Amino acid sequence: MAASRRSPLMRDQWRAEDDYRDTHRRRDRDRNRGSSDRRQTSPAAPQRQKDTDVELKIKGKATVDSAPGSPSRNKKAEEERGSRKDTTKKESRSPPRRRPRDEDQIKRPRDPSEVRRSDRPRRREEPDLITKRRRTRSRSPAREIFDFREDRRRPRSPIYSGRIDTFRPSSRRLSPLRSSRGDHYSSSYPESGSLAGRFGDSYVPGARRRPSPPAYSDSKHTSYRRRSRSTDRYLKSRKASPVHQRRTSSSDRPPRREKDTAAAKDRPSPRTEHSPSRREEATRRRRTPSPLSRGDARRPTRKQRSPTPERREGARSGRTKMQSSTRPIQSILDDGQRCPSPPRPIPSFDSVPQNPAAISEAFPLHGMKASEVHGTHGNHRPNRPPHLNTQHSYSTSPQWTPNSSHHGSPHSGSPFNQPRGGWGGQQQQYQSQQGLNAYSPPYRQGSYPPQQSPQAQYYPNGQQSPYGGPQQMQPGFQNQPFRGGHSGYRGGHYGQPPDRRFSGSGPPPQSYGPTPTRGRGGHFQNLQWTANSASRGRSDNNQRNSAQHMQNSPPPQIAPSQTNDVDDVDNPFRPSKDLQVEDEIAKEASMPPPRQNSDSSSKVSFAFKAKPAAPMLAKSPPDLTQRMKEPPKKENLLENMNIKAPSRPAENHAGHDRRDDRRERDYRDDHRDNRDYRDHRRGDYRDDRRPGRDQKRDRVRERSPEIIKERKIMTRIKARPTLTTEFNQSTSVYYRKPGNESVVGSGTYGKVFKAIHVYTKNLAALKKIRMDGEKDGFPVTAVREIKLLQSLKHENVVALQEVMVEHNDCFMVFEYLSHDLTGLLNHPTFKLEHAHKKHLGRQLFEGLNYLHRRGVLHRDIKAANILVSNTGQLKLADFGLARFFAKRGKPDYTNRVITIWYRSPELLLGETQYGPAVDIWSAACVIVEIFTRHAIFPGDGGEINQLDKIYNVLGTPTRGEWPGLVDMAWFELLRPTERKPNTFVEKYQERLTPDAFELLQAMFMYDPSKRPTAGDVLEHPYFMTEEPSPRQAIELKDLEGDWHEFESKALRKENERKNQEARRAVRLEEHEREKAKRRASGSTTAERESKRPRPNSSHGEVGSK
Amino acid sequence: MADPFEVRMRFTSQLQHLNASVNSSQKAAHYALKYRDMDEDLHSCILEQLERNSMNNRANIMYFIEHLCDMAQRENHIEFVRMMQRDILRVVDAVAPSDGSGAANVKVVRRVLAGLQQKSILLPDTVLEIEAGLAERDTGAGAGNALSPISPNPKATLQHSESTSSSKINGVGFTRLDKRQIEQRIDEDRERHKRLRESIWAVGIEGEGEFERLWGGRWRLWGG
Repeated sequence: MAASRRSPLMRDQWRAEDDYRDTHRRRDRDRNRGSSDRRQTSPAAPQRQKDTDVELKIKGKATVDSAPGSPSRNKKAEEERGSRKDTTKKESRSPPRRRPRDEDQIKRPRDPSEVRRSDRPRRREEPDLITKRRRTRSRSPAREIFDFREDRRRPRSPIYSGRIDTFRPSSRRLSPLRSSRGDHYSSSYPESGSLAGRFGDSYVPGARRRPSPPAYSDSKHTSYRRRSRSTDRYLKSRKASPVHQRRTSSSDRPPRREKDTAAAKDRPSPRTEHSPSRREEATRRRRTPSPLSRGDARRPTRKQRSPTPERREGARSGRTKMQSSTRPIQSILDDGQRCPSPPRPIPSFDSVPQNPAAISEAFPLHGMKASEVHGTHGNHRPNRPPHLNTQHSYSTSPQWTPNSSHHGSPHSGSPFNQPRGGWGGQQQQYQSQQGLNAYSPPYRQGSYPPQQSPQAQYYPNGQQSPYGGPQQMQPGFQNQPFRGGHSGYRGGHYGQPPDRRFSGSGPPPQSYGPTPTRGRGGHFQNLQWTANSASRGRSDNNQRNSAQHMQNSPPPQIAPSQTNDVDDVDNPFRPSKDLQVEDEIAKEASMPPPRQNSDSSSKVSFAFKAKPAAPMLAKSPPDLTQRMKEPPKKENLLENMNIKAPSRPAENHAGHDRRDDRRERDYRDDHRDNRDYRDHRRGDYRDDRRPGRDQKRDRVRERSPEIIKERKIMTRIKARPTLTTEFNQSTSVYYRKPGNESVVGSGTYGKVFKAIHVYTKNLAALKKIRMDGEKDGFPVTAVREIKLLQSLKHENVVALQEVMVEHNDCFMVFEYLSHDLTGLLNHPTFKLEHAHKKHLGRQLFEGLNYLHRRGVLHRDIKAANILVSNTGQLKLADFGLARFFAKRGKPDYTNRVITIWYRSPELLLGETQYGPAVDIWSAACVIVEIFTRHAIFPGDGGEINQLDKIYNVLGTPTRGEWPGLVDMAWFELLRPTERKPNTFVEKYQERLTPDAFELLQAMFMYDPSKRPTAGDVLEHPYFMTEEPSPRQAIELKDLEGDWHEFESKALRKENERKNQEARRAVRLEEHEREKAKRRASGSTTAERESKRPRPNSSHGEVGSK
Repeated sequence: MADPFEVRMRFTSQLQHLNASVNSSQKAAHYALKYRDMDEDLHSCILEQLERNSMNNRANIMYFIEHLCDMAQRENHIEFVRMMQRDILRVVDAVAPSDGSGAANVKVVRRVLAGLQQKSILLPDTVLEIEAGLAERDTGAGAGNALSPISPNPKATLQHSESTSSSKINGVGFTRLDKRQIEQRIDEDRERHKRLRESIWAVGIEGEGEFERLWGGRWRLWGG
């Protein structure tokens, strides 16, 4: 799980590298390859969303084809990997790490031995794959996005379980936003079935998962941003010259350097094992004179947290363990809700560990929030601890990528200063680092920047206020990284915890959820923590150094302890950590050996860290100690749960013991953890990046009060299991009212139903493909329509969300829009203003312009096929007659297209070689209808009469204005019998504005080659300059009910029926009178006459109809 | 075998009820070849129906002639072909009268003539000669164009009305065919067009080139 999550981040970061490495990786994972390809297809998160949308549409059709196979494969692959990894992990000294590794491995197809690097890329790739797959599965991207948010906020476990059970696709969808994470989660979840169990088994995974979601929810934006930035940096650094970055970072982190070096020493071996890059980083770190580099920073944080280094270490280990356990537990709890797995107790753990010391502090801080926190941060920053934190964060991130990037340039000296100076300073450092990172493939930078920007946006949106500003936001990221660094110190612990958080992230968010500030608060907390950690970190660092040595043997335990610590840190970072965690986990797995090797280096780094941490110690120690004390218990429980749950029972037991040990060992573990954290951080960053992209989307939504959102999420979670009876009884995922109540459209194509997705509650329009009377199987026209729609994506073109086969019927699922133009124009009271009309017209031609540029003829433009949402957005619908057309060459299409009132004269005259101009004519008819509310050429349905209607308004065509007239196939057949003058001017000039009139005149040219294109229309003065300027008809939201042609027809029929009845009643009365009169004369005549009224009335009805 | 009178009656009925479908044309052609011993009677029957029925039916018979000649050639009963070569001018005059009443059929005549030329039933010189005569009728029999005057000149309109009135006198229903006939003709033309487009998918030996062209075009479409 964690790995998968990490992998996304990793993938993102690594992708560039991965691409290069792909060749290497290919060996490991064919899956990865596929994922990479897929990833390549979907470049950026936003793009991904688009892609997802497209895919979704496609999925609708192809979901059945591709989705099922790929996911299962992934799962299997992951499982296989997991097994492999597990074995390798077992080898690794630190069980927790192993667990995360396992998860990572699971997600990652590659063997751990294959090289951590490969794993990273693989991870990245895998998440993409998963996301893609999920996306494919997921029908509606938007929904997915929301879901993702929800998932993140909500404890992943519960959500996942619930979602998995019911919505696996949706969860996947949700996950996609988070990107890789979600994917990983989904993949992992589905695989595990009871993820909780897995989580319980693997602290890291659960923690990672759990932490990430909460962080996402609360601090998702910040964390993502930060992480993403860090990831970017990391990536860059990695790509560019990890060593340089690391070196720089180390220089930056001078005080921590000792620790860092120690950590680096420890780290290097694992890194080397896993990924050469890591090794390099480790070596770099080691080499780097300033241990402050990531490892140092992390370490100091750890030290800071733990009042006494040894105790701190233990505490850290305990914390990490606790946290991890708690997180996993949380996740388990979450899962537990859904899954019976033991983890359920975890939720309490989450709340407990977090709440008790660190959380309480953090939350209060959160409560204090940005201003206070920032203030504190600022204070801290000046103080060594904050710097350390920032550095740590960097270090954490740098350890993977960040180390190189961050540390690369800025870290040296500057990082400390900058961090101290402020978040912004750190950010700048990153930037500078990035610049340095120039080494690192520009890709990353390019990719990162966007992420960063989004993150920044996030901050500004919701978080900014708390933090104070976007810069703070960035700092927040940095802080996160710092936190990450802290976590790193705790580091490794954090890393693991984050993993746990990920798993537990679900839960933590819940617990955190209450602490809406998690994201922000998390940052703040992180900051605070960092301060604490810094102080502790120093002591811890020292202890850690020793611990690291010690840890060499017990690394796994350390990792858990770290996780515990991380949990505290994670709370703020959870989102990022979660993301990172996965990667980190994998790294951690690899890390343990390096730890041993790098212990000496780690010690050095500690020393460096210790310096900065010292100031922090005073501040943080109490919290840390408290946290340490409290979390451990939770962690123990969590760990126990996790351990038990995991496949490695022995390790689990050991893990419990280790947890305790970890507390003591935490220092050591911290070092190791630092590595892990780095990995986690890296992974998180990667994940963050992806999520960041997704989050960006989400962020907008999420930007609103995070706390509230979390709470909402919780409620949703609860609501899911209990569908309303109507929904529960629905045999389809799309519930529609029984009978004809849900019909909103009917035609030769079949019927359109209004339906609601029972889970997402999203409205959808189900177009039932008419199969009866089809002798040749599935109608080729429907295939053409689906194919066309899948290739189209435009805001003014209705979106095909999926194609669904149900009860032997095939449905095309569209987004639902409340009105269509016919319904709106026939509305008894609602009147469109001129600005609204112009806006609708512009949207119409924007949609047409898009279609024509894409080589598509709609061929059925009419008011009833133009949908309008309740926000005034217009969308072209009904592509049943649409087709691709050849922009070159000689076309030859059927001329029996377009509803005859909207059919252009060349089609009426039998032309079979036509082009986009036929749509322009139709659109012109619609524009007139928008202005006058009546069709301009209402013929009787025959070509002759239709041409007469046109001639009556526009006059008979001349060869002068239409040279091709006589070449029309049916010109001789339909030649006008008399010449008619053009009456368009007198009929419409006064009803239109001058520019509108001119535009319509141009569009109503007989010669199709003289009509303007849709692009020309959009540039016409009517749209460009003439007042009033277009304005969206948002007033439609106040319009009650849905107004489609169908409803308006029904209304009209109803009115006609009433009128007829009234007339009939009148007639009957008259007849009665006549009868009465006639009765006087004779009964026979009266009877005869009485029969007459009926036919008369019937005729009247027919006529009225 | 069959009573010559009965054969003639049945064949006349088939010609009168020809429609746009290839099926009906081939069915009639088969019948004619089945009674090839009475080919002369059947040919006179064709000419008789061409001059007696509606313009729509004349067009359908014109398409039938193409089928008949094609089939007779394959059946090695060139008597039908020979007779048709002999009377082609009479056929064209019947299908596309010079009075303008058959302006709508000019396109049909051209298409069929082109087909017959392609099948080596008609000599290119003959076709060119007929084309020259058709050019006048194409635009609607001289002044028949008045309805679509080059310039909105009222005089032209007057001329048109005159010409139309005169054509009415001469022709079957010059200004306009019956509304129902027009719609029937439209439907039949669409049906023929549909059948025609079905042959788009027929790929010859040079199909590879077409495939490449379509394949390339496909990418243009998707890319655009």
